Amino acid sequence: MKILVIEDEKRLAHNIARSVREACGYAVDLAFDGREGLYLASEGSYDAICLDLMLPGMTGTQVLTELRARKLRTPVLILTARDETTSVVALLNQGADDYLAKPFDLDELKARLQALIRRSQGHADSLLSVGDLEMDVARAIVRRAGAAISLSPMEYRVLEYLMHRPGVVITKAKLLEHLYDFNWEKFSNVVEVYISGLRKKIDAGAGTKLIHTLRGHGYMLRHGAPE
Amino acid sequence: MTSTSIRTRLIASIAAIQITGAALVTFLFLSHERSQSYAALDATLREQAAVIRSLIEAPEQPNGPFVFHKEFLSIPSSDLFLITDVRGRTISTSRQPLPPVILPPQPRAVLNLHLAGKPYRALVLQNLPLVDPDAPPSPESQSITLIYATPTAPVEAHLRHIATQAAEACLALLASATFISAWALTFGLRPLRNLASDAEKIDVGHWTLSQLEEGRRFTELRPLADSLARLVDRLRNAFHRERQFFGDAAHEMKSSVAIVRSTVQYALQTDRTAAEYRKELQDALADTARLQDLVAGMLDLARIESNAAPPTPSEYTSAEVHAEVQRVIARLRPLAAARHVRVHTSAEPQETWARISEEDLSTTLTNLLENAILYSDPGKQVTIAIRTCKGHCEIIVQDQGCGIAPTALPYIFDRFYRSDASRTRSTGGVGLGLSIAKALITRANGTLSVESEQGKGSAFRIAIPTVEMSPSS
Repeated sequence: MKILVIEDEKRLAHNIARSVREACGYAVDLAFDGREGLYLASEGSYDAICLDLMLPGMTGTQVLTELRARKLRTPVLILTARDETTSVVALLNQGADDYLAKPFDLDELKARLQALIRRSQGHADSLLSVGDLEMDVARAIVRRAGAAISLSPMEYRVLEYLMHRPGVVITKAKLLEHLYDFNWEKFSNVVEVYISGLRKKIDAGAGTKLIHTLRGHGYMLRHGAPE
Repeated sequence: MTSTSIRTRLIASIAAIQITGAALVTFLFLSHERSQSYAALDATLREQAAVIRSLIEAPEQPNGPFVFHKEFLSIPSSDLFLITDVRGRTISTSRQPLPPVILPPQPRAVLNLHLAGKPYRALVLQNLPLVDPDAPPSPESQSITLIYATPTAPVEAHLRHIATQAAEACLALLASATFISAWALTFGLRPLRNLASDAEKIDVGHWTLSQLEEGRRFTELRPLADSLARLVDRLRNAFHRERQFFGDAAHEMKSSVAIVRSTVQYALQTDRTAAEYRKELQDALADTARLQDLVAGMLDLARIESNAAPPTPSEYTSAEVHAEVQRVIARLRPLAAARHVRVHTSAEPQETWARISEEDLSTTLTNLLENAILYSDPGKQVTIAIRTCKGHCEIIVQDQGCGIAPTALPYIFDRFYRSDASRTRSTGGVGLGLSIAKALITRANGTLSVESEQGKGSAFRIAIPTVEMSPSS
């Protein structure tokens, strides 16, 4: 999972970023003004965007309008210190998905972000499942056939990304992009390391294999054989 | 307070003018009528006297009896006459005798008499020669005295009748004029009432005067309508400024609180080492500094603005401008050094005492110089120039920064105003420094103005009155 935080209060932006990285294990990119935010949002593929309204360069409302005009469907969570109802209605109508008034609770921000991502992937609650593999994203718990599985943070992130998209082929490049912040160096072989680690922990003792490798294409999480 | 009606006042004035006019006209008319009537009466008297004279025959012999042909005489029964000869003997008299009359010195006279309690008009003809073409030139013994009197009651009755009619006409005119003017005034003042009920509706959510154009159509109402429109405009602007201020203040507070809160929440998110907790707490403490600056700035501004009246002479304090400028520069030197900005002064050497407290001048200069340093690129220079003119001095803080957009220039002294939303955040301010500076200088009867050219820099100019004598003397 990778999110973008567009917020000009640098201290707040950093706090959001490190909190989300630590608690949710998401990759977080930061933009401190509207133009940079719009550029990153259009170029990078994010699972959700936190957008402040009062931004230099370009206001949050303009960024939002522009994003939706470019047909980007990434969920957007608006952060603002203004709380007039009219502007909330206008923002939701302009394509915002959720709204959080400052000062907010970081836990609430994280929960809303997770909910946004979940809903955008078509899940109604925090419980994801593929076959007998279950993941509770709110509590960060993974079970296979009722038995808890302990994963490293990076393994968890890879699995979460795959579980959100069961039956979809995910390229190595796409997976990398979602695992790392903009400023991290990317080595494609780490993906293979995490996948093999996941295989050992999830598929080793089980009858049905869930993690499939499509050579030259990427990976897929699926219950049953690929067609 | 008792209330007075303009309408009543106008109607009263109109009625007073009408009453005066009517009285004057009636008086002139009655005087004329009276003199006409009496002239006519006098003519009748003369006519009757002539008839009577023609009916008198002079005596055949001297001292003989006069003959009066009373049978030919036809006069109103109310008229009285008396004919006497030169010796005073009665020749003839009316049926009802004329009471004795004191004769006037003139031989011909018209008298107003009261006979038997009634007013009479009498013609007195003394030594009247008898007219007889056959008779020889008449000696004095043939002269007579004739008094003819007629009552004036009918004339007076006629005059009273006319006066009553005139008064009635005037009253009717007055009543209708009052009624019409009352109606016309009520009708005529309707735009005023409309304007008033319009003004009544002005409220925080309703700032339009729908009857304004209607009111402006009337010459008399235009000043009122215009000033009302300006008043509403001023109020609306003031109200919006205040609302904007509260909104901005709330925004700043919430943003500042959000930062502190997020730092603390991050710290509490998971178990950490003592060193990590220490670092997070230090960060949280640093985050509260902005909140503190914000609150302090708002309180400063509120205090200065609530105490906006210029100080009384006994409260005059003064500050030596050069020393204060040097102190402020010394205090901000570390900031200037960190940003690689040079601060330079250009001043005339003599002491200048400005009529402002040292604290206020210091705060103002600090705010201006800090801004100038923060908005200057490294390697640029900030100049503080001091000039003394007659009665006041000028302190100009000139930078070589990015300048201020012409569209932003009128608002830079507004509280929380940002020409660019990032300006104060990236520079750490809360957007109150210039407002505070302006309020302080204004309170000291001075002016704070700005000139700016984009790309070249800005110049903030303080002008404050000076104290002629040094306060140490």
